[in-house]
This record gives sequence, structure tokens and C-alpha cells, in this order.
Amino acid sequence: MLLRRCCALLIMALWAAGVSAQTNIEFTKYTLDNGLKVILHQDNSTPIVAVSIMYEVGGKDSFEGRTGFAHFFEHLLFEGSKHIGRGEFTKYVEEAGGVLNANTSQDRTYYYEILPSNQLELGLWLESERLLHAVVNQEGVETQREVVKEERRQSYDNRPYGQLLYELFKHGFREHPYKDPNIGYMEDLNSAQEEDYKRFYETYYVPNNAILSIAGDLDIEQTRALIEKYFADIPAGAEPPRVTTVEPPLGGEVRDSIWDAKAPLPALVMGYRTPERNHPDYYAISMMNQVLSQGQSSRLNKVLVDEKQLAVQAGSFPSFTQGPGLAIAFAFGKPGSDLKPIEEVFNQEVEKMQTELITEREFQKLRNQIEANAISGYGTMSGIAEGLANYEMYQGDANLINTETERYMRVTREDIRRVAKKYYTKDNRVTLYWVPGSKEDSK
Amino acid sequence: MQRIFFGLLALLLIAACSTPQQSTTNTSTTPTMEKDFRAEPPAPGPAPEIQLGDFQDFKLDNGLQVVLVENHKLPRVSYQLFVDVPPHLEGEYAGAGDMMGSMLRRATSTKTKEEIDEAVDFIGASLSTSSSGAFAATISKYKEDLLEMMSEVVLDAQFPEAEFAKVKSEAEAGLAQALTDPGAISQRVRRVMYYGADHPYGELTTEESLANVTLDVVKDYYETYFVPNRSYLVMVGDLTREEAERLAKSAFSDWKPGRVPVPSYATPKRPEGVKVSFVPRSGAVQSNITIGHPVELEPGNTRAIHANIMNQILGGGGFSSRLFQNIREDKGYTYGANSSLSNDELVGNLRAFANVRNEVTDSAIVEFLYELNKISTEPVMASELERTKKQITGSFGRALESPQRIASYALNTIRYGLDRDFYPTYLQRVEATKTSDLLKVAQELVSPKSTHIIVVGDKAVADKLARFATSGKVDFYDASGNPIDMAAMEAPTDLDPETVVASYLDAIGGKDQLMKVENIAMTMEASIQGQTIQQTMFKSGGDKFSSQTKMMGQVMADQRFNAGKASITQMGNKTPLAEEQIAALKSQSALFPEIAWMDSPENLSIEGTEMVDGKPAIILAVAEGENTVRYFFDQETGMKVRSVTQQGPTTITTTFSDYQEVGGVKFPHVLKVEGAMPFPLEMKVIELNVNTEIDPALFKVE
Repeated sequence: MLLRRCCALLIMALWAAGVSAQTNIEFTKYTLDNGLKVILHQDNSTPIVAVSIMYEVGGKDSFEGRTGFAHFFEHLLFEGSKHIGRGEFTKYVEEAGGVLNANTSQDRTYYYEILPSNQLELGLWLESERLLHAVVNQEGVETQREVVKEERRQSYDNRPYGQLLYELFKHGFREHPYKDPNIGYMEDLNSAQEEDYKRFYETYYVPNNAILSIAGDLDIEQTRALIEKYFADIPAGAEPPRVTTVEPPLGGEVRDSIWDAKAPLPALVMGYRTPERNHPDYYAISMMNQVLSQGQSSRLNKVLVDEKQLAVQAGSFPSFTQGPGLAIAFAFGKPGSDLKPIEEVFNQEVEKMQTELITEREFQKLRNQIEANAISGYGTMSGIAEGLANYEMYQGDANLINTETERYMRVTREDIRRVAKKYYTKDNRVTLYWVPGSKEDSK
Repeated sequence: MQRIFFGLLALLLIAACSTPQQSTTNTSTTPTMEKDFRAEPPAPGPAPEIQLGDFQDFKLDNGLQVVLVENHKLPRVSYQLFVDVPPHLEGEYAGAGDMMGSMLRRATSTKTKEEIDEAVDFIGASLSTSSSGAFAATISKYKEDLLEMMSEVVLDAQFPEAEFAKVKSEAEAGLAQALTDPGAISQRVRRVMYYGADHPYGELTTEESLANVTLDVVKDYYETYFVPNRSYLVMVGDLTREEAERLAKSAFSDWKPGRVPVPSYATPKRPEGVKVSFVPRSGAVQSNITIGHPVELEPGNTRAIHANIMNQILGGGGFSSRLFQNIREDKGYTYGANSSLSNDELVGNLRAFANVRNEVTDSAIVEFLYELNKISTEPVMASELERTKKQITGSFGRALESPQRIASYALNTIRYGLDRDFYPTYLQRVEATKTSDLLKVAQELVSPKSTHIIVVGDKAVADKLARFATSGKVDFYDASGNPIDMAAMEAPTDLDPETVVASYLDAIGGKDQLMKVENIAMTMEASIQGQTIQQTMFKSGGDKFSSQTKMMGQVMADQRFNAGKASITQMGNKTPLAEEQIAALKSQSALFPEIAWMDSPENLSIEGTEMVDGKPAIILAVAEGENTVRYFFDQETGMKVRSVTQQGPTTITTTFSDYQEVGGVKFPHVLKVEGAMPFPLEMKVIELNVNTEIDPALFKVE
């Protein structure tokens, strides 16, 4: 709703770097009869509580001609409910001294409140109303339609590089709905009908499609009783449909140039098709990207930015989608510079990864970085609540918040070379030259 | 062309509003059990006590003060070295301090930048530097190594020439970027207005001052100010007192103290009366407004707490604050209106600010002044005070999760010599606050009758602001707060309107060439909300005009004029025409309307010059009926580069560029329109022909 985060590049980079914690985050997990999964983490050291609910519905679950529906819906679900007047979601939370927000990715929708711990029940009440009693009227639809369109303008259309992810996925996918923008096409936003909202709410906003994740200053038994009170009577729905489209291989490099009148610098943007989040190769791909771009001493930063001074910034990260997606690499050139030399250097660096093992020292550096990330990853209750829900939803195991680091630690130098060879081939990539200015000027 | 284009925009806006209405229904059909327990929000439990963590502090022999915030929840640590550089004037070298900060991490006597990067990355840590010290974070097992690295980078800093060149070019690029940003311009001018250029807070970095900075100046800054006896090391996280003492001593006890000059400056005063300062920014579609003045508000006492609550109610408290409710929610002038009130040992400041669309600049200022006056003369409502207390308490509760925030409270306590229980008792003082306390502090700190009003925006809106100024006039400044001599921007005396028009006609091909043009056919394209709009336009003989606007192959609008008769068809429906519309279409049919201007020279006047995209342009005002349209002609090339017109309440700016020759005449091929819609719109000519075959049916007026 209030959020400005559908898929910001940085956030995903952080997410990718976030890995998991080696610390021991204890939690209680159970499922209500209606299918609602509940995860509770008790930490009484600060008197706050993060109440969150994650629905397994995202941009990819839009139906034909209704792209961006999950995100639009997220906005609508702040409009009010049977017992909560228009605009009062925010009011209840602010007057309790709390904060709230929500965000939508291609794969899931996430709502949360951070409240003083004596207001835990308020958070449960608000979320049960959202799940059971949402009221979507025409006034709300029209208001939020405009807000989302403004958000689209501000975050995508009117922002330098705002279309970057969309262009990458548009070029990288032909059949799977990842090809469409998470925030939706303008015409789809304009044409959404009332029956669509109804259908969407009934299909996806059911307890058996949600994870209620709560972390903070709480008592497990009392909280269980409150959850029983607010959520047990909500009827289960049918099992929601899932995207089954399997994207065929890219079958050859896809190259294009994108003109962007707002962009101050030229950019090289590449996406390599990689498997789903739960695939064992995810970890080696992730570490390969660390070698390329984590820290000022990483290979791309050292060669492209410091030594050759061809680029002002370079970065890369593994795919952030639940299903098969794109591992992304980018470099921003100096003003007016040619992108060709940057691409050549990039290709050489990838080739090195494919033919030579990384050095022992680099390997140790990787493992040190993973350990550091894991340890400092979860310092807030809201971070823990979201982390637990993400692991449960994306990978079916909330406990990966504690154990995923082991999977990184099992990766060998040979694994990194292997995934570089297997996935970082020319035939398997999208290459975009991001050019400042407009197409006509280039004549 | 221009006017038709606006017709098109209006049409699109209407189209957007007239999507089929749907009936209002509730989407919730999930069967519910009739239980009323959800009808009312649950009552909160007893409010938890918020207990701020404590901190410890000690001093090394060389004067370095160490603050320790122990927190063993996670095995990690962070270090902040804060060098308390006294506010001072940098004079002709303004900007040297920031360049020093960028240089710090770029070499020691034993390591290059590359080696420093490698060492930091190898342990998965971070380390950054600035003009006032350094910051670093890592996991517990490297807590010793990282503090050693930090001390090496700071104490054994080398300043290699090669790195200096890179740092300087980055600083120049950063300044150039700031000078194009209205927010940054406003901040620069505000500093000069509030504090004066002879106060450290009012001194600005300029291109000249950056050019003056040499490596020696940078080293001098480092040697003068980087001493332990004015510095604080804040250690946070998984450390015991004993460890902290040992690590701090080992890393920093060799640092030699020194005497730092601490200049004093007269406290800047509020202006007498209201002073209106205006920074003209050609083609701006929004006005950036700042209203306020310096305040004497020291940190760390109950008065500062009252000031904070008062400001949250005025405009610092998000959705529910008064400025936001009035100027955004009620009036819809802006996306956000806010205020801030900062405390400072030397001098603090009050700011109320917003970006508003040009035509409501004066109306927005009226509302700002209304709210500033109201809060400084009437008590706030009890409900406003209660809500704000809850918000502040909630925010403190969340802060407990952040050892960094606890550390900043600790640093403030030591640095400003506050009562040790200032932060631990903060919420009690918030709770004890009465509406009369807020009125008292507002009376002292908010003075709308003695304030600056600073506006960065289009010069055209400046005239209306004179009424707010005590002097009755608006003062103009450039982006560095230097007064602009508006007389120099007045009309050049050796130019008359006819010469300007004639040189324009010459520049696009010459009158002879223009007379050879019998007709023009062109196609333009623009992208609006992801859709392509195509507009075709035909002119013939100076008295025939026809234009069609298409979207996804459908004709949205059709406008024609032929020898006195006119028609406008929208979405297939003919609309009745008013006299002015017929006249407007008639004037569109002129092949080169500028030629006709020469027949009525009494309608033309030169108003002055203004910079357009960095080049001086002459402003020619053309009276067209009730309206005056301003055209900007490049002083050097004579080309028409911009037009500014008032359409009801909106100011529409069109910028012409990419002139290309067709049939011996130069036509602009890119038209950028700002102000008509919430975002700028670029129309591009994709095809243009002169003296071509045009289907006569296109000019048929039914």
C-alpha cells in the first residue's frame, strides 16, 4: 500500500545476500484445521511484536489480461473491512504507536504490523478482518487504481532504469507469467472489473493459502489461544490454482537495446536463466555471484571500476524468484561510454570462472562472508517474522532460517566452476544495452 | 499545433474519468459465523515498560572518549569513530573536508586501496570514512582485526596524488548533479539565508572552491582536526567492558593529541519581518517552498522534547500531522507537506516545506502561514497531543531493537554533557507534557511574522509572492545564494520585437523559403501510460487545417478548419464549438503564424532574457486575445526553444528541439510538454513533408 517496493533492484540484492542465520532462532510451528500455518517466535527482550501474514499469491498468479492484480489487490486490502472503516487500518495502528506496511513480489504478498507488545491482539484482529471481511467498494477501487498508477509512474515509468527488471524478464521469458511486470500493464490496471476482485479474493485469500508469522514479546500459549479466537472460525477454501507453465529453454542469446530518456549513464544488463529457488545449484550460483561482485575487492569491481575504470558500478546476484528465473549481472558505464568493452571484460571474467577454479583465498573469503551475513542477518523481530515465513513458503521449511548456511558451506570450488559452465553460457542469456536518451536521437 | 495538442490531453483525461461505472458491492461473500467479537477492536493489555539499555564510558590518556553499548544478543560489533570537528569556515577551499573524508580509506603506509578492500572483504566486514571519522561493522570473531584496520586507516592515512584526482572528479560530478536538483538548490539557498555566508552553516561548496582545493589543503584539514582529544569511539555489540578497554587502548592510544582552534560566531538571527527569496529555475513545473528561520534550541532538555512534540503535530508526524492533512489531504496541492525542527548547540532551524504545482504556489504559502500562525497562537487539541505521545512511545519501543540508536543516545549524552537520565526518563517527560507547554514552546520557536520564505521555481510565479514580503518585493538569488541583478535580465535595449521575429524566420530558412511552402503534412507520436498516441496534422494554403489523434488504431479526436468553418469530433461525436475554439483552429491553420505576428506589432513585447538549458534566450510576449503567450528565442541561434502559456489554472511549458530541415525549412522534431499532465510528455515527429499531396477530403468540414 504505502510501500514503494515491488521489486527494487537493491532490495533483491540484499535479499540474495541475506542468506540465513547460523544463530539458533527457536520457533513453534503448527497448522489450524482450516489450513492456516502459524509460526511463532518468542523473544521477550524488547516490548514489541511483529504480526505478519504471507499469502502465496504474487504477480505471476494474475490471469489473462489482469497483470499486476496481486499488487493492486494488496492496495485494496487496506481500504477497510466489515468492521474497519475506510482508511482506518492505518489509524488503528498509528494510534497504538505502531507502524504497518505490505509488499508484493512475483510470488507472494506480505502484510505486517510492528506494535507495542500489549497490542498483539489488535494486530490479529486487523489481519483476521483482512482475511475474512474485506470490503472492496467502487470508491476504494478508483482511489487505489489512481494510487497504483501513480506508483507505477513514480517507480517505473518516471524513474531512470525503472523498467530494467521488466525488460529483462520480458526478453527472458515467453510463456511463463514472469514475463509480465509485477505491477501490471496500465491497460490491465484500467480495465480490472469488480468480478475480478471477487474471484481473486475468494481464490487466494483463504487460510489454507496463508502463513501467519509472529515474532516478539509474546507468550506462546496465550498467543495460540488468541489465534484460535480470531482465525479458527474462518472457513478453508479450495486449494488455489498454481502456475504450471514450464518455460522452454531460451535457445540462443536474446540481445536488444533499450533507450531510457531518464537514465544518466549507459548500462550493460544481463540475465542468465537459472533453476528454481529450491534447486541444489542455487547455492553454488549464489557464491559465484559473490566472487564476481560482493565488496570492493570482488572481481568485477576490481577490474571494471578500479583498474580499467570502464564502469562506475558493477553488481550481480542470483535469481530471486521461487520458480526458475534469471540470475542478473549489470554494470553502469561512465557518461557517454561504449558498452562493448564492458561486455568484453565481463565475458572474460565469466570465462575465467568457467575454466579456472577460484583461488583458495577467494574461497575462504566467500565462506567468511557467508558466515558474517548469516550471523548479522536477523537483528529485528520483523526480519525474523518475514524470514520464517519466506523459508516456509518458498522452500517449505521454516527451519532453513537456522540451517541454510550448511548448504552454502557444502559448496566446493569445483561446484562453482561447474555452475558457471552449465548456466553462464551465451545461449542461455539475455543481454540488454541500456542507452540514455531516446531512439530517434540516435539517428 | 500546441493548442490542438492540449485539446488532446484534455480529452485523454476525460476519457480516463469516464470508464464505465460499476455498481458498488461488497466482495466479501465468505460465509461468516455471526459472532460479534470482531465488531470492536480488542482492548490493549497493560502498556509495557520501556527500559532503555544503559551504556558505559571511559577516557584514554590522549583524551579519546570511549562509549560502550554492550549487547550480546547477536555475535556482532560495530565501531563509530566520531571526530568532533568544530564548525568553522573553509573559505576559498569550501568542500575540502568532504574530499578528505573520501581520501581517508585510499592508502596507508603499508597498504594500497586494493589491499584495504581485500582485507575488509576477506572477513566479510564493512569500513567507510567521512570528514568526521569512520564507521565499521563485523562479526565478533574479527572484532580485534577490524578495529586495528580502522585505526590504521585513520591514524596512518596517506594521501596519494593519483587517488586525489579521482576523488576530485567525483566531488565535481556530485556538485554538478546537486545544482540541477531543486531540493538541493533550496537547501543551499536556505543555508545562506538562515545563517549568512559568513557562518559555517551558511558556507557553500562551489565549482571554484573545489578547483582551489589541493592535496595540501586536504592534508592540512586532516592534521588540524583529526585529534583524539575531540573524538569519540562508540563501540556497540558483543563486547565486555574489559575487552572494550583493551581493544580501544591497543588501537588508539598512540594517537597524539593536539590543540584544535574553536572559532566562535555570532548567533544567526531571524529576519526582521518576512523575507521572500526566489531562485528562478526555467521551465520548472513545481515550486519548491521552504518557510522558516533559525531557532535557538539546544539539545537534551525538556524544552527540546516539547519542541519535538509540537513539530510532530505541526508537520513532522506523518499522515496525521496538520500540514499533511491541510495541504495534501484537504487541498491536494502536493504529494507531501512536512516540517522539521532541529536542535543544535550553535543554532537550530525550523523548516516547513513542500513541492507544489506552479499555479498554487501562493495559495500553498497562505496555508503554510496559517498553520504556523495557528500552532504559535492556539493550544493544540488534547487528542492531537495524546496521539503524538503514543507515536513517540511506540517509536522508542522499536528503537530498543536497534543498539545503533541506543548508541546515538549515549553519544549525545556524553558529547553534550546531558543528564545521565535524560534518555531513560524521556518518555516520562513526554507523558507529563501539557498542551500549555506546547503553546509556550511554539510561541518561542515559530514566528511566521519574522521568517524566510524561499521558493525555487518558475520566475512567472514570483510576482504573486511579493505580497508576503514585508518589503513588498521579492529578492532573487542564484543556486549559490548570490543576489541576481534582475535588471541585467531585463530586456536588452537594442532589440525590438520585430528583429527577434525576423531573425527567427531567417534562422529557420528565410522568409523567401517560407513563402514557397504551400502545405505541411506531419505525423507525431507520444507514449502515454504505456500506450502510443499518434497525431497527424495537415495544413494547406494558410487557411486549411486538419488534425487526427489516434490511439490503438482508433480515432479519438478530429479537428478541422476550412475557410471560416470549423469542426471538432471526439470519439465520433461532433461537439458544438464556441467562438474562441473556432478562432483557435483558425490560427492553427496559419503555416507559419510568426509571419502574421509582424502585422500587429502592438501585440508584441520583449520582457527580458532567461536561461533555457544553460543558454540565454530572449523572452517575447505575444498577446493573443485575453491570453499572453511567452516565446523564448535562443539569443545566439535565433531559434524558438520554448513557449509558456497559461491554460486556466495550469502553466504549460513546451520545449522545442531537434530542428531538422525539410524542404528548405527547419522544423522542431521533438516537443516536450510539461505542466499539462503530472509527468512530462515527449511528442516526436516521425514523418514530416512539405508541398506534398494531401487528400482534399481531410479538409472537408461537414
